[in-house]
Amino acid sequence: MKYMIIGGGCAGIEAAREIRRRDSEVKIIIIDDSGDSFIFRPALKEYLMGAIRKEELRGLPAGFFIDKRIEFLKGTVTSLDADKTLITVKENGKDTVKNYDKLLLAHGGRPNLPPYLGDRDLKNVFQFKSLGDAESIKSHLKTSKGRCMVIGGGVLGVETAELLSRMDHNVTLLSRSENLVFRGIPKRLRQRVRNLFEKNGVAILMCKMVTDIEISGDRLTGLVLDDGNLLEMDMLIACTGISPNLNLAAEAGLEISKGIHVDRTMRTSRENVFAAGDCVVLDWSSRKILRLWEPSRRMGRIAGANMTGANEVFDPYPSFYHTYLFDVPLGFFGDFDTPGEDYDRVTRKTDDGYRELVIKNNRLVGASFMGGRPSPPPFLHLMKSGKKIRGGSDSCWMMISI
Amino acid sequence: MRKWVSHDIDLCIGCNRCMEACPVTKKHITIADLNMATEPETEVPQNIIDFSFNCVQCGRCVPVCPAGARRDYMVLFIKYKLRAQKPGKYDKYIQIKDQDKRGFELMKQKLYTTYMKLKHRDLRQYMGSVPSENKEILFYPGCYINSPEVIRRTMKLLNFVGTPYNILGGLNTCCGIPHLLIGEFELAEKNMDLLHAKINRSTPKIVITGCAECFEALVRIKAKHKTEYDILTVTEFLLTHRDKFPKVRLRPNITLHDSCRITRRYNRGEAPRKAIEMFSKLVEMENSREKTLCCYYWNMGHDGANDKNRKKRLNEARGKSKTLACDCITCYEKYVGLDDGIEVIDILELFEEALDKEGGAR
Repeated sequence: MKYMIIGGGCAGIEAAREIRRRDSEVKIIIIDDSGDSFIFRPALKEYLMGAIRKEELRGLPAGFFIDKRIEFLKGTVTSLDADKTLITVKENGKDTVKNYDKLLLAHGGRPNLPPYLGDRDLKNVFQFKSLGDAESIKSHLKTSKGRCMVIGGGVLGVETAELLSRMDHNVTLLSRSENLVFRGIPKRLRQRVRNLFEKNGVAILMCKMVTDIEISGDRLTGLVLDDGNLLEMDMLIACTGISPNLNLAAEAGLEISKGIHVDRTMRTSRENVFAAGDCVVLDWSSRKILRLWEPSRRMGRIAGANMTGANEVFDPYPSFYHTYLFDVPLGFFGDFDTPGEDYDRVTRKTDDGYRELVIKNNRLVGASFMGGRPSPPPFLHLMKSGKKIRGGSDSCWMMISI
Repeated sequence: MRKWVSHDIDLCIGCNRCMEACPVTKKHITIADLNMATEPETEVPQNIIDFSFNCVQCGRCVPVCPAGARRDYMVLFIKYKLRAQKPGKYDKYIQIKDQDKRGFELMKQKLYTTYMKLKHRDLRQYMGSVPSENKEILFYPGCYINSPEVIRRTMKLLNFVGTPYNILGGLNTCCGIPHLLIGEFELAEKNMDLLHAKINRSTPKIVITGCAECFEALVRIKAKHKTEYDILTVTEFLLTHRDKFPKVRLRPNITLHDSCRITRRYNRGEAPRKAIEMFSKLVEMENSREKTLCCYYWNMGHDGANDKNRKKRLNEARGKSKTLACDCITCYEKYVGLDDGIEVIDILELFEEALDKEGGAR
């Protein structure tokens, strides 16, 4: 039996480990184009700040691949034939054709660049995904004095803006829509996030479109907004989301839309081909895209188990995101944004924070908070257990605060 | 537990903030190694074994985690995995504290108890006996009944307040947290159940204690058995009777050492602050509230290194005030007498001094 895993990120590595755990004999091959072994990608922020060293980014203990007898191949998969179970790998400029028994697509996605930048090669425009990106941002920041522009108000954009501001740079965050952090963030929470950033010296521009750009030599020097203002800058970091790599899936005739379609067991529409991580879309779930760390790892593990013949099911609930912005905790759980009339929203303002619960049929289905000292486990536990909340919202607060 | 731990490993994004915050001396430990060792089926390398037995479960790693993972439980789980091979000194330690002993161990404990009873005759009746008379309040000192001065002080204050109370103390009423700290979950659970039964005999309305570990055990018992009594620290209880105490100024200013469990984990740090404000002026240290540092009471490994860390803490306190007050009895015992340059007091001493002063004036 030969298991091929395309992509050595968190989903791919988790899948390989799960396969090895269940079967000590089979051959496992991971193909990855970066050649770096698995790193803690969310910790790149700490690396950029200089809080951790390069060795500490390593996500796996030394000697892991040898211990687990996993082959790690540096190369790019250029084509996939699901009928003949063949893939073509480009290694060192040479194409080789390999066959597989079970295949996992865990190749994730590629960060988007804003369309107005075109495909010019600009020296001060960066993305923030790989270790290489972090290195180049780091070396640029050493000499940079002017304004850092962060494009995109999503999770990555907000976290990057916070990071740069903590490193004493002049930061402006530009968001295309009126949302911050997540789509559907409660209005009052959004205002609080905005105030927090402004208090810490980060300018936030919302609902602004870029109509033109200014370039001098190979550097981007300014953005012209739709209200006519010119924003001068020294560097730009694009955090405008991630597009999954769909070339292989399209070639093999898998069902795709915004990502590769998978069922609850991480199987794609073709036999013996599985997918996990950032490249998938869950069309059967109300939360279709979960491009976060923890679900990716879980997906990888479930795909690995099912590749060896098990029949485990991935449960995207309760999805959960928690971080610190300027040392203030911020968290989102489950369906925090669900609109609709049968949902009951309960808000509570404490002296140092704000919380909002979403309750449906007397059950907690979502929550969001900022500030205070909440801890995520009680929220998750209450949501997962599906306990009925008797006695109104007050008893719900009681259950969470233990 | 296993399920929660593996969920927490998934949450970990490797930012290393928990290790930065951790007060335990650690060498060459990366998050990757630690996560791998936490998984249920993997072997634990030697450096992680040393690290996890030095962990005192102070919880400093919890509020810094951006992903909301519980590193303290993860390390506890490593200890649970290792419970068969813990070093000798931990084994010895736990045998003294086991409630349900037999044979030679039971004899040893009886000898020790008899010795303590002879030494402190006035506290004899409270050591090891379980009160059955119904009284509103139960004072539960557990094993710290062997620090008689603190007990006498607490009793004096409780007598002054005037509410009738029982005392439950002695080695055989151990709260079980020491077992928990070295990964003996079953023993800890058993001890807590036994303690629950002993408390219930006198059906108290309020249980009070001055020890952070006992406090945590009581909270856990309350959550498990859904008991009806309230749990208060001694300071919190005395504050409910604050009007009875004379208003005198005792020291120019006092700084406070927060407890890892009472303040950081259960957010009950207001009472000691109010108590200090009653008699003096409070000066906050930089590492206070959830950033508080550990007293290393439960770190049985490196006494030299622990003393160094404790002295560092005392230095920080000395920069703020001449007096350091502790709310938790374990912290107090570790800091008192360590450094001549600063006076370390138990918060109850303030109440006691106020009474003495008032008595003298009368």
